[in-house]
Amino acid sequence: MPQSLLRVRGLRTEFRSPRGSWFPVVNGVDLRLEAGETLAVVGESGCGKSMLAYSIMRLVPRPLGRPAGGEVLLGGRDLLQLSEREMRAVRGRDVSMIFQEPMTSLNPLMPVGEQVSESIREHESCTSGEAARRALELLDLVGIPEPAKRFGQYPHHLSGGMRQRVMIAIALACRPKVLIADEPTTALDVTIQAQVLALLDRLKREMGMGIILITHDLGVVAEWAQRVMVMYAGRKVEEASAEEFFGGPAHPYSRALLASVPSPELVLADGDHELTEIAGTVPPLDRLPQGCAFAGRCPRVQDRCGEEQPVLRPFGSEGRMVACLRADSPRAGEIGR
Amino acid sequence: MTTPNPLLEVEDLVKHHHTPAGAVRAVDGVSFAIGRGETLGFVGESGCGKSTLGRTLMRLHEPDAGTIRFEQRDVTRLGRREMRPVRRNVQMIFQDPYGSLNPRRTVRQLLTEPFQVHGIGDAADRRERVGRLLERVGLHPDHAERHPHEFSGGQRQRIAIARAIALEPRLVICDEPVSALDVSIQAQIINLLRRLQRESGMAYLFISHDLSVVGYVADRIAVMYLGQIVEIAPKAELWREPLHPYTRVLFSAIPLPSPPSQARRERLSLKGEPPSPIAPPRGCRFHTRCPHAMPVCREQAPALREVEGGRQVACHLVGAA
Repeated sequence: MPQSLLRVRGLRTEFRSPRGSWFPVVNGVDLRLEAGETLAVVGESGCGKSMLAYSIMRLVPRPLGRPAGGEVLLGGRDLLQLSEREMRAVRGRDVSMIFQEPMTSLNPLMPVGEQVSESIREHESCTSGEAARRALELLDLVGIPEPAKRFGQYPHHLSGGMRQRVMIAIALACRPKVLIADEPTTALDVTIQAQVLALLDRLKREMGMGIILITHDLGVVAEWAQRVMVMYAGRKVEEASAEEFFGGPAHPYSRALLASVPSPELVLADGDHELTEIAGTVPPLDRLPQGCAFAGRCPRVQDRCGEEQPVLRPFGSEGRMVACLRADSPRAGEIGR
Repeated sequence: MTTPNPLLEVEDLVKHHHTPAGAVRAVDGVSFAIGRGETLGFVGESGCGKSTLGRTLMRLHEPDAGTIRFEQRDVTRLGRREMRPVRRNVQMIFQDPYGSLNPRRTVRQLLTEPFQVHGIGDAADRRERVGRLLERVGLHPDHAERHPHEFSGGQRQRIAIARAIALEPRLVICDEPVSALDVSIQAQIINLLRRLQRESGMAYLFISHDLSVVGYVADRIAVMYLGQIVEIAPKAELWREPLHPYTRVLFSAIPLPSPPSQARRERLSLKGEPPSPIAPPRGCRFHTRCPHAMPVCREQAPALREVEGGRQVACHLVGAA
């Protein structure tokens, strides 16, 4: 197998509980990302998907959290072993991140064009004129109309969609190999969302970038990702190609997630088809039960689920993984929807 | 279109917000009707006026012009006291139950208040009613002595729903009731709302930016753009074949959770940004972004008119029935 663009092995990040003990929020996660690929990370709030991104970027908030093991291999180096100074050089140049709310990550007191050129000059030695010229090109590339006029404007002059484009321009300023997008379109209207995701998809193909797309929106995953990874309570519980995943997810949590979204078939089905509810809530991470963390909400739970921690294992076709003791024994008619 | 024996009828409703930059024409001539027990969905993007519409119907904003009739009675300009019996029948649920639930009150106090305001029952009777309400929305009677902050987002929304249905209203205006919730909790609340509707026959005006959710809960859907309704139709028709060019773009942008290899709608893109609701374009408000705009669209605003069974569209391109 050719070497992956990004490889994460056994990544573990811990948070401190109010009582002072440490508990994992990212618990032994492995992932691979190839060039030109979008890998979606899905799950409910608190499943650890954002913290996975922060852990890769080494932006885990301290002193609340701390890295607690694993490797993040990019271009032959383990990012977790770099000094803070070396890591600063990596951020933006090799791995970039965009966030849900661009307003909080943009500097409100600086014209947007300058913010883009500054991020270029942070990583490359070039004249301010050269950086400004490239910033203008980037604003144009991300689809901002009249980039020359927008260059001197402040973030509050721009709409939400335009601000997210500026964020993308900053993130792409130094042509990173990996882009981590954490709910990049959640705050945007659906037509703007489609524009921004189409833009990311085009840039990914043109630049050969890999994208980790963190989202709670399974529709977005089906439209834009090639692979899907489902997280629950800090662990990866399923990984599959988007095609296989939406054809029939294997983990009961994945199935429940998918069945809780109104599908087009449900919209058109007259009558009283209820949406599938997932009983209860995500258990608090500092007080996880023994065994499978989903057992308490799982419709297919058995006695041993409460005792044995299911390990992630190959399931069906190559690259597909699931962590469930019951995943190989679907009842008739239960696969699919 | 005529809804037989409508519960709520709205005609040419106008609500402008006055700002230093000028009047924001949030709701600018909106007409529709809701039948008893019906769910009418309102969709549209930020700034289209759907939330202002909901609040104006509740008289949280005073309408600038137009008529609101509830059970054939004009309630547009009723005073506070005259509104009271109407309020009993029209309730509202918001996106953020934090904002609508007084944090210092217990759940019991929050749920008893509607009965006090309307002078219903004595203490023992109210106690029993609160217990029944909690049960109906899937909470435990023990929850009554707790405060809103002790609950999760989904549970808080259940409390807000219990409060809204306490007086058995005929219409509940739901403004983005599940937008702040995780999908699994969203499903619980949507199922609850539908179950309550089946039990009591109340009507919903359901406002949401999520077209899949609205598609699922609504009987009919109204699409808003810049303060006006551009299309209103039974949901299946709208979902299968949107007629207004804006509705077509909007529906083509819905990301669908089905295998990538499955046939999808062609994704239509929208040029430019929405114009300012302070100075909307003359003629058809959508003409500046419409791929099919004709000269007449720049001059003349198209009226919302019936095109075929129960369906209305405001577009010069779409022929009348």
